[in-house]
Amino acid sequence: MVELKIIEKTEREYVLELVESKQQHRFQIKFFDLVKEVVVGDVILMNENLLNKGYKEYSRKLMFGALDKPYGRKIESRDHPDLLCVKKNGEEYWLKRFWG
Amino acid sequence: MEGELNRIKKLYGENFAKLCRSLFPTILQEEGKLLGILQAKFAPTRTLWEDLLDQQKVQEFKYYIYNAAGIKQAQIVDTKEKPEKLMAKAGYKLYRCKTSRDIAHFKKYYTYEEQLCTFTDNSRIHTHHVFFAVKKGAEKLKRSDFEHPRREDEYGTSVISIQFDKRDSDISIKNRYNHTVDNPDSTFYNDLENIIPGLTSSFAKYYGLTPVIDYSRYNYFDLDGYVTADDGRRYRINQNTNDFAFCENNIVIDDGDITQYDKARYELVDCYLIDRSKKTIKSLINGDSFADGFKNIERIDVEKTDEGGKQITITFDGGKEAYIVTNKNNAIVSYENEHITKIDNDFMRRNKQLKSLKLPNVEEVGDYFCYHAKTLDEIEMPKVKSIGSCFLSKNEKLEVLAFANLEKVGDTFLFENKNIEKVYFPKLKIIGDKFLSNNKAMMRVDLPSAEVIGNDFLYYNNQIAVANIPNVVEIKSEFMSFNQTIREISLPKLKYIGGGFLRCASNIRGVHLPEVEQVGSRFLHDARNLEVLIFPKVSAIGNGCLVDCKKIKELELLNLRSVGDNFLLTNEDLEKFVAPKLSYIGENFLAKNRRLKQISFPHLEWIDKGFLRDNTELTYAELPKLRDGRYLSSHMEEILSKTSEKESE
Repeated sequence: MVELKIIEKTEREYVLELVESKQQHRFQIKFFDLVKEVVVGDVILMNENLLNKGYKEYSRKLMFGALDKPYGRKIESRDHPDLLCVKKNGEEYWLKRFWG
Repeated sequence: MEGELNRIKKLYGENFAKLCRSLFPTILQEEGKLLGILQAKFAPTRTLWEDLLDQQKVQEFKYYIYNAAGIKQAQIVDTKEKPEKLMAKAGYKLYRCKTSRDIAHFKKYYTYEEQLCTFTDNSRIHTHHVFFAVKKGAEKLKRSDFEHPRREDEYGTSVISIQFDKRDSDISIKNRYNHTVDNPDSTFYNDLENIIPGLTSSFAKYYGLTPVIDYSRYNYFDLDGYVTADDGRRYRINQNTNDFAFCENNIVIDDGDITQYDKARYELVDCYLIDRSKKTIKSLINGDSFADGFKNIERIDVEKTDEGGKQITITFDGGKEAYIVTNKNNAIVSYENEHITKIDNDFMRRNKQLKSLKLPNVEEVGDYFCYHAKTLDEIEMPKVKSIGSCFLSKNEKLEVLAFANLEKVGDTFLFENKNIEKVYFPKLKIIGDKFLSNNKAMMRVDLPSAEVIGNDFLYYNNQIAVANIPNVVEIKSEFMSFNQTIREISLPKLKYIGGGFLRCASNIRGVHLPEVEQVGSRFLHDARNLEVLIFPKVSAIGNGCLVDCKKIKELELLNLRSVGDNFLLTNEDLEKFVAPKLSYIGENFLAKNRRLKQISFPHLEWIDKGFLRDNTELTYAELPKLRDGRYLSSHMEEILSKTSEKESE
C-alpha cells in the first residue's frame, strides 16, 4: 500500500499527495460508514493499483465503506486492491471499495 | 478505404480486416490512419482477430483504438424513438427512478452479497439520474445457474442500472453481479450503443442526457499471449521463458530488445532455430533436448501447408526423415522423427500448441517431456520402456493413452490430465509418486504388471471404481486416498503399505490383502462404509488406523503383534475383535466401541492411556499377562475382576 496525504478537498474532489514522491492525484471519493469526515491533513493508505491508469479497474470516481458490508468484495489480504485505510487523529479506519 | 483494408488484411488477416470495417468506419475515412495506429501498436499477426474474440476483448480493443485515434465520441446512430421503446426492442423494460424508494424497489433482483451500493447511498438520487432496466424473465434467472459469471452474460445484464452523474454527465452502467465481476460499473463499456444502437441519441433527445464516456481509461490494453517490445508494439508469443519471448516472424524479444533472424536463412519455430544454410537445428533455451534429435542432417526442405503453416522435412544422412509441421504462427503443431531412440530432459517442455507427436523408435524419455503440451491429442511411442518425471502435465485433449512396452515411470506422471479415460500400460512395473493424480475422467485403472507404486497414487481421482493391480508388492503412502467411488479392492501380492492407504475412501466396502505384513499410519482411516477387511498376515500396524470405520462387525488378525495409537477408535458396530498374538499397543486402543462385548489378549503385557475407554457393553476381558494396570479405568478393573472370578469358578 502507498501512503497519500490529503492536501486539498473541494466539494467533489480530493487532491492526494504521495508522501514518498510528492506526486499528486485527484479523485472523487465518497466515504460511507465513517462517523467523522475525511479532511485535509488526514492520510490515506491505498493499493498502488488504484493510482495506475493502466489498472483494469482504475477509476477517478471511487466509493469506500465498511469491510462487513455487502457492496464490495471480501477482503482476505492486506494486498487486496480494494482495501483502503484512513488515518485520522492517530486512529486507523479500514474500508473497502464499494461498487454499484 | 478499400486499399487500406487490403493492406490490413495482408498484415493481420481477412477476419481482422472485416472486424476493422465494422468497428472503425469513421477512422477509415481518413486514409492510412487506422493502419498507422495498428502498425504502431501491433506487430503483424494473422491471429489477432481470433485472440480478441477468444479473450472477449473486442469492445475493449475498439475503445483502445478510439482513444489512440483521439476520438471523443463513439459512433452514434441517430433515432427518433424514445428510450423506453428502444429498450423494449432490446428486451428491457426501462424505469426512471425519482426517489430513493423507487430505487429500493429493484433491490429484490440482487443477491445479498451482490447488492449495489446504490441501495445504501441515500444521496444517489440527488447526485445522479438513475434508471433501472429489467429484461423480460429476469426474475426467473437463478444466480446459482451461473457458476462462472461474465459481466456481459445473460444474468449480469438481465438487470442493469444506467446512471448519469448530474454534475459532469459521466455515465455508469451497473451490473447484476456487481463486484463479483471485473469493473461492474462499466457494463457494456458504459456505451449505450452496446445495448441497442440509437440509445445515446434517444436519451439525449428525450431526457436531455448526453453521456460522456471517458476513453482515456482505455489508454492501456492487455492481450494475453502478447509481449510489448521496446518499439511499443505487441508481438504474439509462440513460446516464452522468464527471459525470452519467441514470437512470429523469426523474432526473439529479450527484455524488450528485438532480434529478428534473417528469413532467407532461418526458420524460428517455437524456441528452435533452424539454419537452412548450415543444416543445423539448435534450441535457444538451454537444456531443451529437442535439438538433440537432429544430428547429421543432409537436407532441410520447407513447404507451405494448406492451413497457412509450414511443413519442414529434415533428411538425415542415410535417408531417414523427420517432419515438423507448424501453424500459421510458426509454432510446432506436429513432430515425427523415427531417427531417435533416446530423449533427454526438457524435451519440448514449453511448447503449448503441439497436437501430434510420433516417435516410433524412442525407448527412453527424460524428465519434463512435453510438460505444457496441453493440446496434444495424438502421441505414438510404441517402443518406449522408461519415462522420467513430470511427463505431460495438464493435457486437455488426450482421452486414451497406450504405451505397450512401458516398464518404468518417474514422479508426477500425467498430472491433472482431466480428460484421460483409459490408460494401457500392460508391462509397467515401477511407478513413481503422484501417478495420474488429479485426473477427473478415468473410471478404472488396469496395471497388470505393476510391482512397486510410489506416494499419492491416483490421488484425487474420486471417480475410479475399479483398480486392477494384481501383482503389486509395495505401495507407498496415500494410495487412492479420498477416492469416493471404489467399493472393493483386492491386492493379492501386496506386502508393504505406507501411510494413508485408502484414507477417507468413503465408499469402500471390502478390502482383500492376503499377503500384507506391515501397514503404515492412517490405514483406511475414516473408511466409514468398510464392512470386510481381510489381511490375515499383518503383524504391525501404524498410528491412526481403522479409525471411524463404523460398519466393521468382526475382525480377526491372527498374526498381529503391534499397533500404534488410536487403533480401531470409534468403530461403533464392532462386536468381535480377535488378535491372540498382540503384545504391543498405543494410546486409545479400541476406545469408544459401543458393541464390543468381550476381549482376550493373552500376550499383552503393557497397555497405554485410553485403553478400551468408553466401551459400555464390555462384560468379559481376559488379559492374563498384564504387568501394569495404571491405565485401567475403574470400570475395566471391575470387568477384569469379574472375568477372573468366572474363570476360577
